[in-house]
Amino acid sequence: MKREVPLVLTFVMTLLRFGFEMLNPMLTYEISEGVRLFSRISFSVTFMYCMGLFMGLINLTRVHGNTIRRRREHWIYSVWLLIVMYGYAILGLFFGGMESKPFTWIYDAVIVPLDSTMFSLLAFFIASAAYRAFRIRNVESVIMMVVAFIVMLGNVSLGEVLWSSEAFLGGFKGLKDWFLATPNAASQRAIGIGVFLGSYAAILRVALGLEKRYLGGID
Amino acid sequence: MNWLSKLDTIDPRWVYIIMAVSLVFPVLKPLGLAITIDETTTVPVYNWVESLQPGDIVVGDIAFSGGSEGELGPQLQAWFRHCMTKGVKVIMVAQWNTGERLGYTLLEQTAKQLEGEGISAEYGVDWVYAGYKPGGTTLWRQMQIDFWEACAETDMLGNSFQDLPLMHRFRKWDKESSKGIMAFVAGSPGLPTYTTYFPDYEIYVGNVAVQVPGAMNTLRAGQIKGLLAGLPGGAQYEILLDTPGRAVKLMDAQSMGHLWIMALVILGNIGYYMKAKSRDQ
Repeated sequence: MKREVPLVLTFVMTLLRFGFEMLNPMLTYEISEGVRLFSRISFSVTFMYCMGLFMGLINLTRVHGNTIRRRREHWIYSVWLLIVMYGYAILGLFFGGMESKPFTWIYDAVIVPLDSTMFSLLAFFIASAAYRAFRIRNVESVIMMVVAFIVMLGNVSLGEVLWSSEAFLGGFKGLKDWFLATPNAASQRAIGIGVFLGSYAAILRVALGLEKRYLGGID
Repeated sequence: MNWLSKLDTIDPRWVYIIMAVSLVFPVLKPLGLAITIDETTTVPVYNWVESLQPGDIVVGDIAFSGGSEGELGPQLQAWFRHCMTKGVKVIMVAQWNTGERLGYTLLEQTAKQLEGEGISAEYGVDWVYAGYKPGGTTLWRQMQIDFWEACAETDMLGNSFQDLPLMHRFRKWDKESSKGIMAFVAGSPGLPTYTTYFPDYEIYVGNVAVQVPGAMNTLRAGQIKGLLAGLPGGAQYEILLDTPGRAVKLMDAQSMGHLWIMALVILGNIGYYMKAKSRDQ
């Protein structure tokens, strides 16, 4: 039963979700006056999101609680993580939420700048990686470098200064637009179609019970 | 030739220092390099807002967080300014909870500026921020059927929709009530939510530069009608509005950053080639 119940549930829910998208009468079906079945289902997903949040909270507490108890390496970071996680949650839940000044100040003055800083470091990593790793060893790497230079210059004002978009072939910008709109779009489509066909096959396998690994190691 | 082979091993500290100077210097002292308006990506977004009538409602989406604020923040503010100037009403949702508050802060800043300039941008009347609602794409689907119910009838700040006059015109999110969607996206969930669940709508996108190649096929296929591409998209929009701001200011820095990366690739390869040559000899 441990296997059969989840398999049946998965199959039924897949059919249901498929029906909501493909059959309009199903989407508009009302279980009582003014209450649509789809609305109830969509709120069950909201509920699952919230439950997922609690599961994450419990899991993080357990993992980092163990790290602190056993004084594992860098355990002090686990203490900091738990203080920040619970502290910020308590601040948001019991001290005014979105309207609370400390809550919004921490978000505006700490979270956003930290997030931006992490992302900004990419510029330095890319510069360093481009210098150390981009070596021209064959024809393919030459093509890649030329296209990369054209797209980079086509995206910025400097490219316009060096080769104007009103000049032959539309300058760097004209070439960049062609690369993005033609070879790039074609390959993106091919990748997209491949990914979706693969996803359909994977979903079908799960729905029909052919793929059971998500059930874990139970017998 | 010995010094040329040393180009293969430039101290990383120099790489970082020069990159930092390349980015900071043009911000402090702008070079004023020309910015070209992109007719296929930026102009359709501008023309769409221009074509709307005062009182029309559009929906915007915040699907980014602080990491992408540098690129998408100026886009969002320029687009919002355009809507308010034209008298177009804006309802904002947020697919990313991490960017929910950030989006509100950016819009609030712009609204205050606009009010200072005598342009109406009153909360609840000209714009509403519904914010993040947990439930993923299923809930976004539900918003099309009953926006109020899907949002639990409250905006991000906890105000009841009953108290927000604009929301009385927006019970459900359909093509009659909204004249288009402008999604500012930096990852997942993002654009596929709209191309999948809102295929018949007028969809416009503000995207981070790194994702533009992935969105180009949707633009070519007509699934999206316009695209603000990274920082240049924001800068072009600011120029179209004749209000150059943060994006225009940052464009020179981006040019210099790109130039340094290209120089590094060239220098690295010269060093590699010279080293290999001396080894062969």
